[in-house]
Amino acid sequence: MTDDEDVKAVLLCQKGEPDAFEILVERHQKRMLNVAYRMLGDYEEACDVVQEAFIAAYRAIHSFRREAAFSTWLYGIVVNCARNRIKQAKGRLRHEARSIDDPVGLQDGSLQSELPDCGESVVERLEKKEVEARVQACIRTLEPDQREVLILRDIQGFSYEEIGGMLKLPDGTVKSRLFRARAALKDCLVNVLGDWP
Amino acid sequence: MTCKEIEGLLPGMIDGALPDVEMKRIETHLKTCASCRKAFADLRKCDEQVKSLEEVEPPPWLKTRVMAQVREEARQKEGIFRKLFFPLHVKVPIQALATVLIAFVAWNVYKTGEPEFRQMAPSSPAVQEATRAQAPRELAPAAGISKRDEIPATREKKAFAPPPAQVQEPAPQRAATVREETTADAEKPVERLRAAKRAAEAPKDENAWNAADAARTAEPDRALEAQARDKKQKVVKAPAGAVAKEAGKQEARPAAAPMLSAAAPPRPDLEFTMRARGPEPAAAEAESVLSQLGAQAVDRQSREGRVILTARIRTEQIEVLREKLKSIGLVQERVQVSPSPGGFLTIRIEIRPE
Repeated sequence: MTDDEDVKAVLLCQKGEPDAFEILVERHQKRMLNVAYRMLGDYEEACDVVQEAFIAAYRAIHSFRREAAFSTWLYGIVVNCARNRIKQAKGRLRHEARSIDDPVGLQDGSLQSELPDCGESVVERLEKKEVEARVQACIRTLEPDQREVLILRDIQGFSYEEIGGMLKLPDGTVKSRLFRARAALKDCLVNVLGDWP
Repeated sequence: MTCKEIEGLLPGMIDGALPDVEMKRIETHLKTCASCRKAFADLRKCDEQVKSLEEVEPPPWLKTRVMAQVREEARQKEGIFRKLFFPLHVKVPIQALATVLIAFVAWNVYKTGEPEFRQMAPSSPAVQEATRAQAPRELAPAAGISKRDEIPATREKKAFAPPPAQVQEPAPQRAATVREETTADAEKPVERLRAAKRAAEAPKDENAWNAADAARTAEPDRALEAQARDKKQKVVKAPAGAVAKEAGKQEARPAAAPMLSAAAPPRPDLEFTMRARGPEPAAAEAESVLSQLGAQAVDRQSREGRVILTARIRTEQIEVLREKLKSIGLVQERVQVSPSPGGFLTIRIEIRPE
């Protein structure tokens, strides 16, 4: 899959063929969902944000001028939607039901007692799940601007240039935000996990 | 470099985002500093943890929902377009009908106003041009050249002029306005100038007004001569538009016609107004009297129940004419110019019903 395929689909959409947009959804939905999920920490909410981002992209597809890659433009939209969602629902997210990887359930041991004993692999899986949940919890403690950069660079593997294009930031700002995010995440994980696995 | 500075740069070591020089300095420092080595190791482990996070899969309904909404959006956009042009079986006949209606109205407006457009549009600039062209021609002979030299200019004017009846008849308002303007523009200044010039040339003891009168006397002579010539050519009998069509070669002609006709009406030396029971028989009688008296250039015109006769007659015959006319009807006389013996006078007899 190359960016050329994106461009072809975009051109078709611009010519008034909405079915071509399905190609773009198919190609980018997973990565967009993961970006949104890591930013929000809630699966359902991430799905809503991705849907919202796709619709916003379709509405604005006539304004896409191929100055940057379509993926850069699209992920910029999803980051923006997620950022807005965080701003709007900051209080609600804090008090409503916990996300799927909320570590609280694990901390009091209730989850372990509910799960059937299926041998070592299950324990390992639970341990991994626990670590992931704590990493996710630490990610959520980061400042939103640092979190965005960390997710895009260290989790999704975008280049500094691409991230700069998505967030409309210069490389230097992207790097400084990323370095602060890595340092803060390391401090958080050392505190949460204690003995490093 | 202090450990604090190194710790600030260590995150950049993870993916080699730092310049090579910085990297080498940090590596050198890490060899000697255990705490910084520990911090860097923690950063690496942290990075591994982040990168090992499991990806979530999109739900199958996500694409379905997105595409459903996209298609709905597209349908709404199309809807605005459709409202204007679709369904074809309804909208196309309406639009076609509207087009035909507009075309018909436009054609009708054009047809209704066509004569007016023809009259108005080309006349004004041409009349102005003709007026401008005419004025210097009139002025030049007035500056002291002989009468004969003036004739060509007058003749040219007459060539485009309609018959005198058309000049004097109450014409449609628009035409009348044009004539008034052109008369005012073309005739008056020329006359005044001519009279003034003659007054300057006249003997000192004479009144300037007498010189002006002389100018007026001379002009009708020339005008009548020209008129007579034009009658022969049958140009004067044709309306101005027809003259223009026939000529067609000189652009200024059709537009100049009304102006020129107004510019050269013969001004009689003597005017008789006669009241008779039957203007037509009285006119016939007067016409025969004129022919008996050897009058020249006799012209007869009838309009609105009146008959107007114009002619040139010897000064000696005036007295006889006066008596004969009195025998036909009640005559009032108005003398424009005092008759001089041995010459011709232009007379105008208007016969009105009692």
